[in-house]
Amino acid sequence: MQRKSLIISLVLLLACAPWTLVAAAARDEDENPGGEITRTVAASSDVVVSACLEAGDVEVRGWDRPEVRVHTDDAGKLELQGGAESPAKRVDVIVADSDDGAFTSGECAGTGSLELDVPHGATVVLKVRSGDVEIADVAEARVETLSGDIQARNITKGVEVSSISGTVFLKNSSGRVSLRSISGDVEVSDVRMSDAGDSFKAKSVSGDVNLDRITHARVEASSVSGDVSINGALARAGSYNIKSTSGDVTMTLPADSSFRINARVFVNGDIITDFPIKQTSASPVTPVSPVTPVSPVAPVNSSGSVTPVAPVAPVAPVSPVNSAEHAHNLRETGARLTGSYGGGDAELNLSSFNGTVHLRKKEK
Amino acid sequence: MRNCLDEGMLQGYIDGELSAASMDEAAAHIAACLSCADAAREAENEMASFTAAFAHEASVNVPTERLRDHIEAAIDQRQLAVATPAPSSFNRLCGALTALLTLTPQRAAAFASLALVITLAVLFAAARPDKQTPEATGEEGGGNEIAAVAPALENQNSTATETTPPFANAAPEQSVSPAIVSSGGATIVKASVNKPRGVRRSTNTTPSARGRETLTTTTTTAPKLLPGEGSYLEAIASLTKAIDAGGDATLRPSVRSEYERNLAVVDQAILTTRRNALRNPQDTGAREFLLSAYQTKVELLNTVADQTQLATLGR
Repeated sequence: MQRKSLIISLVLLLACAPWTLVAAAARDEDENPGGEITRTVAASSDVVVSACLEAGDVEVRGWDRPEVRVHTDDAGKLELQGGAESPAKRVDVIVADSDDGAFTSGECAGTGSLELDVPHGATVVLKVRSGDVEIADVAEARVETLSGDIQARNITKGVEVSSISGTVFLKNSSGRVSLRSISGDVEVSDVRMSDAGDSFKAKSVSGDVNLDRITHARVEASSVSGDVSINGALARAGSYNIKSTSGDVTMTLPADSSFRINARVFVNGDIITDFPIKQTSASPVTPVSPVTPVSPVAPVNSSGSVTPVAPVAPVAPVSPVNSAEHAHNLRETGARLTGSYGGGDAELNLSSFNGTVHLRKKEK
Repeated sequence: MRNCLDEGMLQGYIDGELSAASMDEAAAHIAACLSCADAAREAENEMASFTAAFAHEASVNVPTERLRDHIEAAIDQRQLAVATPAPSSFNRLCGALTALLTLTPQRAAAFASLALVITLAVLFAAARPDKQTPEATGEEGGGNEIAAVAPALENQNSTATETTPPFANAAPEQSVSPAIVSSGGATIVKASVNKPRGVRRSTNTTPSARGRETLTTTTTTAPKLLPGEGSYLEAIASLTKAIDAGGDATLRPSVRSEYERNLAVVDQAILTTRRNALRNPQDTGAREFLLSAYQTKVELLNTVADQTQLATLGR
């Protein structure tokens, strides 16, 4: 009888051992004594993942797996709410400060740094009151921070980000773009359209806006007290509205660009262009001598001097003139410059209320 | 200067941006020209109202409030000093006499009658100028406080005297804000005599009004709004109210300071571009800059209002 009981006990022990090990492993993945927590849920390829934090840095990466994985090593409690569907179409990442903290979707009281892995086709929606956000290799990103930088790269369908006191970076992406920072800069490079209707908007109140190699057909960029600069080739038939209230506006274009330009300065600024613009209107013109050197400074006429443009009728646009005058290294004060260069494919509206408008020719 | 001042010149005069010679020239012309004086008053009203509309943002900084309190206290002390000019000389005289008496008490009786005569004479002399000093009577609170009001613009054709609202930092917020929110009506406010909140810039007072100290009900003319301004102002008022309702604690101090700093930047842009748009009413580009500045302000307030709401939910 004793032998029988011993055998039964051994069998039971052997049968339960693997399950005990599996359970221990699963717990290790979820939580460990160091405070790290990882949660994973199966998700569709175009899942919408959202998170809202009081404080903490967030890093989001796209990956090939059809699941969302979230890891934290300093949040008290972490949960993924994905609804009834499987794989999940929507995943809310909920963070609470302590083990006994209540989870409430939509609240942003949790604190903790998060690392998220999401499918490449995911749309990521983040709100972080205080913390930096890095997001890469996903379809769409919508991010808001109160104080914290936002860095986005390799976003394929659209980006919409805003920050009050952080800098916004966007690199190597495509689709609709809307970037806004209140007191930080906006830095963008290598961004393309994915659809013909995609627009590009970048705005800052007191920061600078620097755009490098943007190929969208509709570009709007502005700053109130910062400078705005655009560098790169123009989109064919593109429309560019660039303005600053008290900063400078600078556009650096390849020599073979083709555009129509309507440039305005209102109070104290100048309009300086390296391109020989075929003018339809320029008023009032204040010939300035010597001209502030603009690099590169190319001689205009045979004598190599700057050619000031004769005043045309004030303010009102003038119909194209046959004897087109060319503005080259033109400098005007409190004036407008309307004209074209090359075939006039793209349309440039450049204005600064109390700054200078530069139209620069890119050096080869 | 025979012809009336053009709009740009007038605005430059009101803003104090003209050269000294041009200022004098404009002042002389306004003193002699009724229509220009009227135009100056109207422009002053508009500018004052708009400046006051943004005074809320400008006045939120604690140091500014504290500084204002210091200025008010200094003004009160100065008025007190002006109100009782005689006692200082009287005290000096008494001190001298007391010292004399202390050294030789035996002579006290002899000097007593002389001191009494001198004292009476000094008091009598002090009483006479008091009747001629408006500030002194104002301190007594006998209903003549109005004498302390800064010189006002006077409408020469009316029996009542119109005064402009206080300028810039001198504007009481509550009294002027409604004039901004409303799009057409006029707002009547009472001149704040007991708490003069600042000193008017002398360049903002037209010569025709200088030296005239009158007081009646102050009438603030609603500013002439440019096309598109009204809806922005309403949105701004609504958002500002929402943010204020959240309280200071909803934004971290660093974020709040960024918010206020940028609000000041935008407000400055609005004031500057508005001035230009007023000077050049036909210039759509100038107006676009103004509306763009308003749009930026609305977006800024919207962002902060969202955050305020989130913080309130998270409490």
